[in-house]
Amino acid sequence: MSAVPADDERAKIPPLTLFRAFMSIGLSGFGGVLPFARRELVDRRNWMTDTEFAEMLGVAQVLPGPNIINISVWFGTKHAGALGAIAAFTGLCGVPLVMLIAIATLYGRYAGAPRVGAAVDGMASAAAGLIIGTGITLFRRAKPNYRSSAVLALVFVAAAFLRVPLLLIIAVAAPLGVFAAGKRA
Amino acid sequence: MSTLITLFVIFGSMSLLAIGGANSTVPEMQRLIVAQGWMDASQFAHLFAISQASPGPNMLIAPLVGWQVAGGAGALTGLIGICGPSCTLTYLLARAGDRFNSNPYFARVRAGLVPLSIGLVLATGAILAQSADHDVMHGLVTAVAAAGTIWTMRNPLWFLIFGAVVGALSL
Repeated sequence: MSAVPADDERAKIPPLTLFRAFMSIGLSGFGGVLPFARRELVDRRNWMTDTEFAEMLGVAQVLPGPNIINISVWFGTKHAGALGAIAAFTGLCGVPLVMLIAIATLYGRYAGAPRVGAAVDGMASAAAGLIIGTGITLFRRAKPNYRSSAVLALVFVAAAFLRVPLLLIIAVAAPLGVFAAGKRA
Repeated sequence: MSTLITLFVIFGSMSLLAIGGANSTVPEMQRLIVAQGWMDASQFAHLFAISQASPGPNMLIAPLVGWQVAGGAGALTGLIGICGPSCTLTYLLARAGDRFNSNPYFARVRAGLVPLSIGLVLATGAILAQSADHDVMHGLVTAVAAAGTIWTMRNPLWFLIFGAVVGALSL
């Protein structure tokens, strides 16, 4: 059972530290927060491994609601209870929301400048690359077995190219994934 | 007051419908907001683009719409609506998960979700690239950002700045 730490063995993290970590994730997250969340929680803070991150992300995706918000509540609860959940959530959303309202108010003034639009287009391309790179990094570090990799490929093709409804993908791939991982667990 | 209640109902239902991520509910969100007569589709599209290009989770589109419709109280209502129901569920499961964490079946289910989660991350990247990369230059920006994420520990912000500069210069 050593792979799964008991609750009392799990590192407690002070809510203020959680708040700061998730604020840094939220403030860096242009065009999607996920790459920054993986970098902060796995690479910089060493709070979890890539496999644990992928597992937590899987739970967040299956649950309703925005994934990254679910991650903040899940991670905060696990490491500091209800106060931790509130700290992580507030850190993630608070300052970015104030900035967003300010930016939206300013936007009207600069929306007409073509270079602003072109720069945002370039950022969108880079943001797509960041997410692809995050997915590949998770894959390389989590090292799924052959059957799990086949499920992964199926999910990817169904979602990216066949545009199968998400609920259907989850309903099929979640049980398949559990079956594929079965022997290893 | 009735505006706030409508905002809460719209975003609260989106919160519970958003399985797999908030972006999947954006088309439905747009339909409901426009049907209320609060804004037209292109105004909504602009707000969505702004929320994507700004720091923070993309779902901040909900409080932003609330802000446009009803000021500070609207922003707070939008935030509580889009996050409240799903956060409560996540919190309860995280607490319940504590009791099951040492249970090998629970660990197997979590391990089984790994291919689903990684597959969906890669699909999200591919879908964004399909709509963002309309020429070779933009495709290269995506490739550089992906390679940089895989092989360097550099802050992702640098690649976004790189993309913005290439985009502005390619005009």
